[in-house]
Amino acid sequence: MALIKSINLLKLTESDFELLEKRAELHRRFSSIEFKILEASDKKIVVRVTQDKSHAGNYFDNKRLSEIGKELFEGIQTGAAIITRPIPYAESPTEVVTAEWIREQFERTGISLKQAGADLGVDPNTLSAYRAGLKPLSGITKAALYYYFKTAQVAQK
Amino acid sequence: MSYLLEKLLQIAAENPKGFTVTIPDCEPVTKGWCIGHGETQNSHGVKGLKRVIEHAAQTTGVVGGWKGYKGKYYFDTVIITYDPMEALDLKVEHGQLAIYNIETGKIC
Repeated sequence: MALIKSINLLKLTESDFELLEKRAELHRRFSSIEFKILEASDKKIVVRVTQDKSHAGNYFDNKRLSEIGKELFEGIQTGAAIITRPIPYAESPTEVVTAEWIREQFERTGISLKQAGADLGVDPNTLSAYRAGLKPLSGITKAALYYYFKTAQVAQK
Repeated sequence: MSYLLEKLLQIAAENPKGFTVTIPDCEPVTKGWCIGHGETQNSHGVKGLKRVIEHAAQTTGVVGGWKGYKGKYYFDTVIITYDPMEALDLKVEHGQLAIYNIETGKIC
């Protein structure tokens, strides 16, 4: 399975295929950028360039993602115009969840660790560790805590 | 070592597409040209990560990882340089097909 989705739409030599895939691997690895060939003909190649959440926090705007899509094909003899469809990363609202944010939410809502633990089905000691910044927050944990406190705030209004 | 191993496995699990961090603090690398170290190619799984941690600790102090084909998670020691000419020399020296600037998204 190739890293560039629908790469089979392109007529490539083995070495060009290998080079494109290597470039795609680096973009995916270092910047969470992925590519999909949407359309390919002798005249044009339409490529979608999508950036997801990147561990390095190196996010690129529409213009740069579009350039990256064109640079992907540098030195590759396709004879076709490269047209890009960039989709920049849009941060999830749950990214605001940090130990400090959790502390604030407990204070604001007045919910106890015991109550939150019972509601979420989580050991209160685990919640305490998140609140103290002693335990790292995974994406799913952030999402659970974010929507738990948002719901609690709405319910209290 | 075991704490660092656990921490890096956790980062890998949370970042299946990839990560690049300094060790032992596990802070993300955000600038510079990234070159995979030739001596740590084809390191995968827990055994591969142990090998990479030992290697990186004695060399560049930077560990990277990414999920490759068929879901296998690969790790390597990463060389970081801010000098583009040195980056090109290192690309050849370490037998890399391409190298990456993590700040700009440039490949050469």
